[in-house]
Amino acid sequence: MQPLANAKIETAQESDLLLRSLETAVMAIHTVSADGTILWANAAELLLLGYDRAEYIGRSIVDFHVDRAAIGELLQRIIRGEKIRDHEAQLKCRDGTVKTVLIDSSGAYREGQFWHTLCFTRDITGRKMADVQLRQQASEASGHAQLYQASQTELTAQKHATEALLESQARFQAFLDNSAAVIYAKDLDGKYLFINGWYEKLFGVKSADLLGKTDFDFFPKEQAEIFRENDLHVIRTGKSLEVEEIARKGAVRLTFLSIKFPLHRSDGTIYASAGISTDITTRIQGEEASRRLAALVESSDDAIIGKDLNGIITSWNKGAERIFGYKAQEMIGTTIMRLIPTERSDEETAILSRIRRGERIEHYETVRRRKNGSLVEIALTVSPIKDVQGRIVGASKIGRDITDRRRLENEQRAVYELLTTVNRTTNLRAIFEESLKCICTCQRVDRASILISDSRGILRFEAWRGLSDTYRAAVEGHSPWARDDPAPAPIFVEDIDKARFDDALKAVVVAEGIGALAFLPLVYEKRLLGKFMICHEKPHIFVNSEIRLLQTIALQLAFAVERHRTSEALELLVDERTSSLREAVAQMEEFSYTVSHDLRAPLRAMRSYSQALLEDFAPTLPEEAAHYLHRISENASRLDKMILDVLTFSRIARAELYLEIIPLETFVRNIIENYPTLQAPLAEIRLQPLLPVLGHEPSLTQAISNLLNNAVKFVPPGVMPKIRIWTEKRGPDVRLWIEDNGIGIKPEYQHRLFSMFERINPTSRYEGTGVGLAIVRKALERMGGRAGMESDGFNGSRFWIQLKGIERESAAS
Amino acid sequence: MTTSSTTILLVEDNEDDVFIMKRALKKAGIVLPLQVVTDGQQALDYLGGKNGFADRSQFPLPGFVFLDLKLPNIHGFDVLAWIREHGLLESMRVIVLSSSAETKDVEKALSFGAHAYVVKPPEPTQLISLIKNS
Repeated sequence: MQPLANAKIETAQESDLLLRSLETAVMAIHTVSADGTILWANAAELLLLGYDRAEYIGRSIVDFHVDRAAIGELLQRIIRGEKIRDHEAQLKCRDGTVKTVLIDSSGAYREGQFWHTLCFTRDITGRKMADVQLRQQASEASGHAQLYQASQTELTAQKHATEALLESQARFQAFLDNSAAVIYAKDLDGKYLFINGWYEKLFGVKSADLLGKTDFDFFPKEQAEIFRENDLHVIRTGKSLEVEEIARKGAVRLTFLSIKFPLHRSDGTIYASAGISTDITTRIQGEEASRRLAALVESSDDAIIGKDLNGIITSWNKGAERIFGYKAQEMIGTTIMRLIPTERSDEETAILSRIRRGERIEHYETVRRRKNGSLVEIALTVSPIKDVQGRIVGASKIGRDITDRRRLENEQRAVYELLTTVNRTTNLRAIFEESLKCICTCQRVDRASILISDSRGILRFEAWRGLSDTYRAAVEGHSPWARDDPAPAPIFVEDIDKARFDDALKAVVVAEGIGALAFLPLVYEKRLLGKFMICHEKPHIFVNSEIRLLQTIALQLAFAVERHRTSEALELLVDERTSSLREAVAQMEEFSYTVSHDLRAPLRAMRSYSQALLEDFAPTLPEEAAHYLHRISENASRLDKMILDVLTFSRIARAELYLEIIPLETFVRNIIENYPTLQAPLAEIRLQPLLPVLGHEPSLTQAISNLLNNAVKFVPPGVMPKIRIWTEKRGPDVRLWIEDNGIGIKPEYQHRLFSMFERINPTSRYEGTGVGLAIVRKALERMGGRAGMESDGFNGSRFWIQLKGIERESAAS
Repeated sequence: MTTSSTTILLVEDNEDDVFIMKRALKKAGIVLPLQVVTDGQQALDYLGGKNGFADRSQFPLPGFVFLDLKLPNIHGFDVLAWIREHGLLESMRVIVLSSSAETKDVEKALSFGAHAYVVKPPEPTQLISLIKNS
């Protein structure tokens, strides 16, 4: 703006024109003094509220606000220098209505002192309102212009022109600089004559830099062209124009509602276009959001219902229409109780009282009644609706139809139960029953059957629900697939009437009252095991999701049937194997018997004849012959002993074992007493107190006597065998140790020790068959124990056997 | 009661075992008359006085029967059962002779009524105690 000192008549005239323009501007503007008195208001403001100038100007602004306290406080803030933007207020109109407006306001100052407020009031009751205003505005514009022309003349006449102009100029300065709209004037070429401070705020270009330049210097060409076009329209027509303009400058993109109007010289010719452009970007976005929200509500599958605290319906969307069957016009203004089944009428009272307390109710699952009387399962979410003051005035209710979800849940549960049954039991009856239940649940029918292929490949009824004997007898044996079809496909007869198959069969099906049928083959590894059938009363379209579910059931059923067959076959096989094993055992026993009787006889004879020769012909026998006869006899004895040991081994290996508590100490003592070789003076045995074990007496006797005999046998010549015996607790087991002072066994041989016919020492030095330790190991294995040994190969050996101990003993110790 | 005329019946099919038995008796100094039959059927015929064994002066009822178990035709256990069924266990002592030392076999023989069980080969000392002490 040009400094006041340089005010020329032309400038004054320009300011005057702008003042008149503000007076006729579409935006409501007023000024208020520090005590709240309305000093001035333009036509738009008076029009907005419906008052005459006299009814409005000079009165307190507080009288026109619904919230008196708020406006008083707002005024104080402005006086303190605060700039107010988008303050929402409610204004009382002359006709008694209340308008909701947004106020932008700031203080105007004169010589550093607060002068008055400058308030721009935007009606947000609707943009339509602005349109009406505009049209009225346009018709009144010329009238107002004349009025102000007259007022100007009067001022001149009073010779206060200069003062008036100065004041006018100052007021304008304040108006323009504090306006939250871009206010500008451009000459006929589009060069800026004037622009206010708001422009700078929005686009960061100083107003002074714009003067003399056009929009083409600041905006992209396409935009500048549009601005120019609008300006030219105003100049050409001489009429004001309301238009939405988009201004883009760098990253800033703003939408303006521009009121453009011509500026006339006193002779009526147009010399400029002017405009007031209000930034409505936020409002547009808000409206957009509301529109989207409204569309969302309308298109939602869920029922979205508004109601007041008395349960009276205030809004009703398409989703509600779809779920409940009532139209919006049928429901709005009536009670929500129409939807609630009588037995649940208490629910609404409870919901409303929770809403009154400000609570939100989420996923409340309940049942409501449709227009046609049927029930629908729904999940409700109910939230309180608050008014501007935050008071709860109603509730929004979102209802989701969960009938489908319930159905899905039931289906899933049925399939899950079938899977569990199939996994838990091999009982085909139980599996068939569960399958029928599952099929009927998933298809919502009460008739189904399961047929299984018999040994001749004919499908026979195995389980069924709701099918007559006549029907079953008539259809049994009919199969839609060949017996050897490797990939039989499911068959769906959606409408019996229209289906083409055997007339006689069709008659039976129709007589049974069946409208639709499905046959699902039970296939396992390309073999048709059977099928299941579903009977619908009425024609039925089998959709993909149903078919997939039925195929899952078929798969499980086929698996169960096959598993049952396999297990039957397996049992048969086990029976066969068991009997052949029994036979083998019997043969083995016979073989042992033969060995023990027949194999030993020739050895006995060899020994006896050798003995007889030695005894009867001793005097005539050469010494060498006698020696040979001894060797024959000894070898026969040795072979006989080996046979006996092998027999012992095989007896222990197959004997039926029963374990009993064996008091090891007396047990070992008895064994020692049976063998003179284990007693003094041939051997010295030190027996420590021994823990009892669980064992099989004959097997344990065999094992311990073998170990003890080994212990005394393998000593260097001339050494007196010394043996120490003790037990040791090892967890639940007891280990019996037998330590000797014998020749020991080198570690490298120890692994061979317990094998059959293994001998570490040459036969010549230590007599033995090589079966003794194999018997020990086998006996321990059979009793659930273990055997082992330790030796460094020089200082004797420590053999051990380990068996289950007796818990009682461990508790006592 | 053993007298000098008490007959011993040996039921044994293996001639080597017959030899061993005879030699053991000789070594034991037992000189009682010995009759030998070589299978189960012959044993039954002898004891029943049938099929050429009717002459009791030639084939007197024995005081001791040494019975092999594994016999052709009729098994030793069947012969033992027959003896028991015919109430002959009172008048004669039956000693089972067997190659088997298996407890199972010993127990079975004793349960069938055998008075003693001898694992082959019989030792002279055993025979003395069996015959002289009865």
